[in-house]
Amino acid sequence: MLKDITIGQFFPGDSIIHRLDARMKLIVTFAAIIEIFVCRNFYALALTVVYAVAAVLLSKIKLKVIFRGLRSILFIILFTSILQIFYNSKGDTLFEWWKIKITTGGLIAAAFMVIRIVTLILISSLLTYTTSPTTLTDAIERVLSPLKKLHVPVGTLAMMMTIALRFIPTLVDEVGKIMNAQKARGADLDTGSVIQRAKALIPIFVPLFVNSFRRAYELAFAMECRCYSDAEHRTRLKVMKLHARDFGYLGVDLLLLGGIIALNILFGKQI
Amino acid sequence: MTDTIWLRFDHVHYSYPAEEGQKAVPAVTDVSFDVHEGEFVCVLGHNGSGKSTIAKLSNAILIPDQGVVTAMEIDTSQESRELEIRQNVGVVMQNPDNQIVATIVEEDVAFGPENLALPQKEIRRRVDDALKAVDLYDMRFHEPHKLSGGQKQRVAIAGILAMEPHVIVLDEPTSMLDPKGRTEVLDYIHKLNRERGIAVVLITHYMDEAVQADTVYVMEKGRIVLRGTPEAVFAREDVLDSTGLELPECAALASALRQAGVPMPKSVLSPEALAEALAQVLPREVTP
Amino acid sequence: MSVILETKGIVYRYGVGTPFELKALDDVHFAAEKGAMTAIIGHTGSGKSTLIQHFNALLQPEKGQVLLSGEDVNRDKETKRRARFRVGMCFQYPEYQLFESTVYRDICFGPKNMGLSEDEIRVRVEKAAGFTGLTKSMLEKSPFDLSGGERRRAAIAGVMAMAPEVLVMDEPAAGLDPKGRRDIFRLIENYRTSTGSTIIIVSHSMEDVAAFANRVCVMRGGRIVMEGTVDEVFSRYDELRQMRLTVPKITDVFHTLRARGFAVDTNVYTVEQARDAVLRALGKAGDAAC
Repeated sequence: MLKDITIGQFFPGDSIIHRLDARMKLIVTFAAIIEIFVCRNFYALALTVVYAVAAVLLSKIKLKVIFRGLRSILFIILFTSILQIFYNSKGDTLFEWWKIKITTGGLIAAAFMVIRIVTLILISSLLTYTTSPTTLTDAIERVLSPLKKLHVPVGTLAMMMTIALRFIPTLVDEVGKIMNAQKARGADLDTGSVIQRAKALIPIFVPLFVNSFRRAYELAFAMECRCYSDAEHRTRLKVMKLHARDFGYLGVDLLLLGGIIALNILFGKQI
Repeated sequence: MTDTIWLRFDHVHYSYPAEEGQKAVPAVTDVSFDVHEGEFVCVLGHNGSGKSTIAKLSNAILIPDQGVVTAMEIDTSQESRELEIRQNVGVVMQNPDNQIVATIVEEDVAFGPENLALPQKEIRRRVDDALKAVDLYDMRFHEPHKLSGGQKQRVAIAGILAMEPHVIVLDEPTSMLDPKGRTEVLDYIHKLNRERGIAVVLITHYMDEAVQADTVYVMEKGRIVLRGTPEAVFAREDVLDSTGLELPECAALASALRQAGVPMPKSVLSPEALAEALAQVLPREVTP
Repeated sequence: MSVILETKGIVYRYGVGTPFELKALDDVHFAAEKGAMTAIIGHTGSGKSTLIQHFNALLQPEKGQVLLSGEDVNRDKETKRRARFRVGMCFQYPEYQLFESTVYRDICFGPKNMGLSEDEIRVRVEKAAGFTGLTKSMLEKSPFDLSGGERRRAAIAGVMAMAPEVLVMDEPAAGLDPKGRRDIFRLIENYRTSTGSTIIIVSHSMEDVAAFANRVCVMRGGRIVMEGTVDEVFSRYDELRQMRLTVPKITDVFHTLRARGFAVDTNVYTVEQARDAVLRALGKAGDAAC
């Protein structure tokens, strides 16, 4: 169900990670993702793991939540690691049957890939776990604001994102209500052929679209009533200020990058 | 009440643009009324009587076909002063879900002041002030979709309040709320009128919401058919009957008793007045 | 009178296993008498909506049973499906579920899902349109071209066309103006008396409950805390007040008068009852004076 999606979910808190400036978090997370792909050996990768685990611990997000987020991408992890195992034929052969050949090289590559993906997910989901969607949207708006000079409507785009975020719960709720109402009129949503099922969605989606247009119309009216006219020249309630801790965070990330480069050079390419 | 007029409808006509091949149906016909400084006005009418159009005409969302609407002495047809008009005349709508923009209460309240491009400090002050006025300051970090209907509507009111308008027009603000939410929202509307001197135009189909108004206008088929104090308007049952409105129970009982020959004063609108009126006629219980 | 729909000790929780776990129903024993109008009242979040969704097996209880004519609706797929059609459900703001190109076709949706013949469907739709006062020309219109009150009635017709033995309505008059409100309650009452169907209504309006319901059941914190005739429940005035449930304003006035020492009945909930009570009190006083 839609409600079970945890990636992108915000968990309010007061940890140091929560308090970091969202713009800095956004930039550093982006940098860290690139850094993960720069790693060429297990030593460098281990360093990113240490970094990710430390960040998770500092964020005080419950490990249960973290694991639940990972579980949802279990399939991707399994799929990529199986690909690695079968398509990498370096190293000693451990097992061979018909066209399937498992080698030490394949296992190592798979392990490397799994660690890489898990670290990647940890770091990126930590950003959304510790930053409210609104703050994140704000941060994106501000990080991208230099693009305004190129006439990119950054403010309008951010406004659209905010409204989308605002209406997701409302629409999820609405889908549930419409589904219940049609089920109560005997709609069968769970059985039948693909075509039958697709047809069964019409009574759900037609009202959903009609209602969404009505909502959009009313929202536009409400926004006009509140003097909305130009998204690019608004001032904001929240002012984002960089603190010493934000530069500290950037420093940690630079250290990580330095470490990775050093370990890459020191131990060479393993994968 | 002084003589300053904050919002004026002067012989206003309006028809929505007709669809192809159809004739435009007038939504508002020859409507005139004034909202004075600090006045509490109630516009009554059933669904489709044209009363929602009044809200949209009052802040330049719609411009009259004929006649003039003046908000704080600005003619609403002056497009260049649109923002000034909307800042002065705030409109709250029926469905709280469709007028909340942001995902955090305080950020939603800030939406108006942000659009007015006020300095950050001023936005902060107004947001805090507006939230305190509707007693939602403690919930400023909450997500609006998790609030009750009454609370959402209070957020919407705070959002308008933060623009510091002179007049607030509310279009059926309680019709989607449960009784608790309804009382809650009405209490705050009255409080804002009383304590901050904000003029209120309450558009509704509940006659009991009109009991405490200074002036009541009853609309039917786009026209104002009755106007006056609540007492005067509620006494005109002959006209009210045809408008599909319903007298508040207390007034209805007083009227039924009057018809049955029991002496009842003319202006029984509130439960208190009814109790008082009945106390005059009922016999005292004989204590055993 | 016999019981047609009954819940036996049902328990339901939302978000089991999450930090947001919420016990919505806690050992609920509810019974609806055949042919009667039962009202369920209570604050938002008291469990009313969760309860009614058990009546047609949209939700399955964790514990306990839902019995329709003595049969467990959750026994198997077939009983669940039967319950969908035997118990018609009209949620709040049902007009937002309309989807077909014409009102007529939308009303057909339920009967079609029941697998009825074309002829039977037409009869059903016409009957439902009759109950809800939809004219022939309205039936040919797109539901989106109707007025708010008409759309509401079209949606109700869509449920009535399934000819359910039990019709459950969640706030059927929400958001309508007084005339629309009266129309809806009258058509429900008319439907009940002419078809003998059982009606279960969820309402915030004590005035409407007092005027139309036979039995009332009060929910609080996922439990049924009061149950009985309108008189039995509304006479527990102090308890209702404590729960911050509004009783009709007129009832309030009569309680105030009684407290001030006036000889007047307090079991008055509608304007007519109140008028009669006052006239009675005056009549008595007249007799005593003679």
